[in-house]
Amino acid sequence: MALNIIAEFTVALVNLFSWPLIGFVVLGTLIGLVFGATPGLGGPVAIALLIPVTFGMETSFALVLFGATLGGVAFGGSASAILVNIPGTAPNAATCLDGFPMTQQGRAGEALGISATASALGALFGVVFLLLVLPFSRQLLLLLGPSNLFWVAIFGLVTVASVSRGNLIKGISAAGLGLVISFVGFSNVHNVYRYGFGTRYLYDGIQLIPIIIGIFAIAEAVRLFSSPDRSISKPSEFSIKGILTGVVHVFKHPILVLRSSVIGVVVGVIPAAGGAMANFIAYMQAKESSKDPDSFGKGNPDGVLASEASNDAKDGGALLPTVIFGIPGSATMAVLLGAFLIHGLTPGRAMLNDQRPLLLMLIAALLLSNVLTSLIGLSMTGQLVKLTQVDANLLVPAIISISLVGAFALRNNFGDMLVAILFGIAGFAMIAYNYSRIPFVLGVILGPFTERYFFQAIQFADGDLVTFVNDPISIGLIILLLVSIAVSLRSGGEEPLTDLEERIG
Amino acid sequence: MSGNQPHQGPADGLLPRSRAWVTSLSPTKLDAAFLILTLSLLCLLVALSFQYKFEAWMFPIAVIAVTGPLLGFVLLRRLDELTEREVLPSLLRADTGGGEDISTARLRTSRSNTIRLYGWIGLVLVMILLIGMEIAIFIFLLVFYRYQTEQRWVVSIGLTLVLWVFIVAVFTLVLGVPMPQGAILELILG
Repeated sequence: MALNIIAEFTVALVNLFSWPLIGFVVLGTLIGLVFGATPGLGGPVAIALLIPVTFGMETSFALVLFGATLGGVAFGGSASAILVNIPGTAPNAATCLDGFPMTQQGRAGEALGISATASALGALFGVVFLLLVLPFSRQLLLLLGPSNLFWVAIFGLVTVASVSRGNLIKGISAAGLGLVISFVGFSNVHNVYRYGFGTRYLYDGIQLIPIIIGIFAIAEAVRLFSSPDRSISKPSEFSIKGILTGVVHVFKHPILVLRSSVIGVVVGVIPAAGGAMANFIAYMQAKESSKDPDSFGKGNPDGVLASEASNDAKDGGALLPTVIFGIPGSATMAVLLGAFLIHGLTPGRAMLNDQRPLLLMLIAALLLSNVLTSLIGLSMTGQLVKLTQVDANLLVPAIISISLVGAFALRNNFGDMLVAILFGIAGFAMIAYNYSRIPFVLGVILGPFTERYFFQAIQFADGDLVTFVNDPISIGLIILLLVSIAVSLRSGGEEPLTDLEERIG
Repeated sequence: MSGNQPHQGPADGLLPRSRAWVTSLSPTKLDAAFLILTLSLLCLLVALSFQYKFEAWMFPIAVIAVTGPLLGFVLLRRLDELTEREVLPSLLRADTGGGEDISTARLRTSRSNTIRLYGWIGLVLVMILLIGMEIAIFIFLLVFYRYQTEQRWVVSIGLTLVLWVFIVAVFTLVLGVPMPQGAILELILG
């Protein structure tokens, strides 16, 4: 079975080199590089803005574009972190610790060479892991009935809420609000139009795309405009010799690459754990296992290596819960999940069976993009650096314009633009008052599934509610749920790492 | 522009008192207002629920039954902070992660800038309705770059053209989205 998937993956990878797919890979890589390098943008904004652009596209083209963008974002953020000490995306924060000191020591080329090589190898590891585990995930899915899937959805919501920005109470509240939003409109389960105030506009419910555009893109534009503080550093020069030194350094430390990649993949699998957590854990293990731990934070190349290998491996891990259960491993995956649904891809059995070729194409694009990103990124570093110094005010009207047009383009409806603006206001309020947006969006996405699984379970059990607690899988999930809540309550008011993620973008 | 300085705009001299009032509101008060608004919406949804059959409102009410009290708890915490009366028993007074320190120290949000940008968004929305999307977006970009970010004319026009061409190329030419012409243009063109 695993061999079949690898064979199918190889076919998908080879197909990527045909036109126009290779064009979309290159385009997505460039878009990802730009968004990753520009602080305040990052993966969620990139995917959110790409969604309306991909409406009329073939699904395969859209997925290739998304996958390639994901690959580009990672290195773009690394370049920014290394060269000007501004992490382009939150997972790149750990790269700043040693990457920028290396730049200050005139070793920017070496740092970039390490980043490019470790990223490509980490991405390869993440993809291989994903391909090997996917066949067994089908068996896992077959074991799960509606009651189990209901608890998986609830577990996903609560776990995401408990590790996200703010604290558990606000996280669960945000998830609950997202669920409530999803109930608006005609319900296929109950054949009734709910909470629409009799309007035609709300008959199909509040659309996901305007919500995502508002919550992520418009809210971030407002945040950028409202807090234009930015540290600007003068970038140092770099040489080809330095880059090659960095490349060789990675191949001389295969165990560290492997360890960091494993950490990235494992932490990436945990819903909403986020890339920042994976990278800091990988960084700490590199430091603890180093013969010279005191040199970390002062330009030790192993610090950059560990963080970067983990950074790209995590995408493979994060895709696993996203495609199997519809539970995103990060903010970017949450938006990507929305993109899947819009293009008719359903997490779970469908994605692992009928839609598997498309899924494999996405994964192939992610891998190819990571390799391309390393090559393109190194040759474009000078230009990328300029992006990090762009005044945020110049980006804001661009984001607003594309967001409004994108929201309108969904159904040629002004109402969708209004929805995007309203959720832009709500999204900014959530940022300002410490409510995580990830569980909110997840609630909107999972709401219909959760309600459907709930009622399917009741129907199969002839109305007996004991069905939710009478099998080992459900009980196990409930225990995990309670443990997740208990751990979160115990950690109390400590600021989780993902708070940094939402603030930086 | 740097730090927390508010941007200057054409309307700065027009509504000084209302702006001063809004910017003087503490984050805690605004958070409380946000919570009251959200809870009010939830109450409205509960009231609407009972016109549907039992199966249709059961799950939404269950979700609201969890979400509402949690938000109510956060609101009580905010009111505690505002009134300094410590209404909540000390055991329940868990840190809900909000308030003055987080808003001002960590995010350093300039409230004037926030309101100003929403003003711009509202303006572009009205322009879209009146003169159509393509023209409205062009004017918005040009005026924003020139007067809000104070770029030179050459830079403003250049940036506007690049972005406008990109938007028209992608959405109109490639995706074939029929951009609205706006009420005034429709009246003129019939």
